[in-house]
Amino acid sequence: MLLECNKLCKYYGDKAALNNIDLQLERGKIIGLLGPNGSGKTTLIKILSGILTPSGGEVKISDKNIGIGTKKIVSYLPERTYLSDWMTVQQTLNFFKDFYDDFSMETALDMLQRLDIQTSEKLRTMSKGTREKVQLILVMSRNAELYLLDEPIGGVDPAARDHILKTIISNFNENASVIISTHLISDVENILDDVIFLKYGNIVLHSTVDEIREQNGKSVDALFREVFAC
Amino acid sequence: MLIKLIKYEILADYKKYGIMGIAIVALAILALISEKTAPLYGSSGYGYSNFISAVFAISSVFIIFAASILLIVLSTIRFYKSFLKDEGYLMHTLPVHTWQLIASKLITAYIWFLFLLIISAVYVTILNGNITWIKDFSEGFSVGFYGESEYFLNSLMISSLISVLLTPFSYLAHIYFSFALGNLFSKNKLAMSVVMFLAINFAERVISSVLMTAYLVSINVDMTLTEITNSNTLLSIVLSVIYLIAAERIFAKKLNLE
Repeated sequence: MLLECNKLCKYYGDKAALNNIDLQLERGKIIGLLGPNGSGKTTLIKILSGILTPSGGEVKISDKNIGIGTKKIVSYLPERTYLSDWMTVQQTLNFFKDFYDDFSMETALDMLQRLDIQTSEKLRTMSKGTREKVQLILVMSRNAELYLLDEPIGGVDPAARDHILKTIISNFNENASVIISTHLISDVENILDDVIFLKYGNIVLHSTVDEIREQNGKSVDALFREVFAC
Repeated sequence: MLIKLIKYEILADYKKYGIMGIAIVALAILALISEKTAPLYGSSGYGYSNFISAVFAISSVFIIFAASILLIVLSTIRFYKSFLKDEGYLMHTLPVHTWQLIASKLITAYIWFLFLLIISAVYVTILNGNITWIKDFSEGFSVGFYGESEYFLNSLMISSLISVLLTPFSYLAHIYFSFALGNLFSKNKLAMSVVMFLAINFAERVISSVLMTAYLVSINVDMTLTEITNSNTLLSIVLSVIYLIAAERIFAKKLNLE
């Protein structure tokens, strides 16, 4: 098992962002983490990446507690720009190469070339969308075991979304899994193996995309609109 | 990994400190040129020269303090931005220990502190036109403590120097601990960090005063100025180490990035 959460919870004051979550994920899957705003998607991803401390429960990634051991095998893309703006693209590549043993410079350079991004360019001079593409390239150029992508296509134009999704599919191996949190369900539906619906910090559905289509006769997007209808 | 972290810390700020260093040296050269060229403008030039000399003489006294304050401010901003804001999302997901992240920032701050000390020394040397100011400085001590033994003066100078060198260490440890405590609150983390900073500062001063008074009154009324300085320095070191260990534990075990 790649990921195991037992009775995982996170409270902000009295409010529960995650409420005793039990979750097990296998390797070799692309999993959609879906839910409306405030459902706990980002909180769960932040706990798995180690930047948020859970209020209770247990998390194990590849049988390791969250710490340096998991940071070596988890590749995390937050929903915000986390790279220093004084850096050039080349410096960000060097930074990842310096700190992550599983980072592939060749893969990153190849993806940058395909997206026509110059390595000499400074992040400060780039548009928000281009910076997000650079971040995604860095994250997907790691040979990680678990990729955590928080809204990876939220800030980019529709034309670039297909390329990004292709990048995600082509850059993870069967030993790894990808968790994608997004509101743009119809855009990612075709690449998902499993989906998790989160509502008020609880898992209300954990199923394969094929099961949803067979049992409900609906797309994931249609089922999401039904489950989370206001 | 620590060396790599320090490398990127230096790369992040070298331009700011470089520009600062160049500006300070340029200012000193400008002052020197003004002073040397003043006689060319006749008697009014001397008045102008005296004014410029006075301004720069005063500034040479304050430049080390200004540089230290600037260092604390820049280091605090750097720590906050790269540790607790957006860049923290990258720093805290690196496969490194929390103590390495904190140590890299502290060591880098000290590298810049030494750089600014050297630049300040260059500034004063240029203004004086020679390095006799070092001798003047030590003679100033002798005048200030007229009648004291050479051993007393030397030990007081060394104690004072250690105290000055440790100032950024104690301030930064204090600031890192304040940020760590602020991080424990679920809301208004920055505002709570400032409150914690002030509260720690107040508590530290009260404890320091109480300990010092108790020591002076009940144990050793003949305590020398050097011993008082050393006691303060020792207390400052002990408290700073406690702050750093506590900050590291909080960030390692209770990190909650907004």
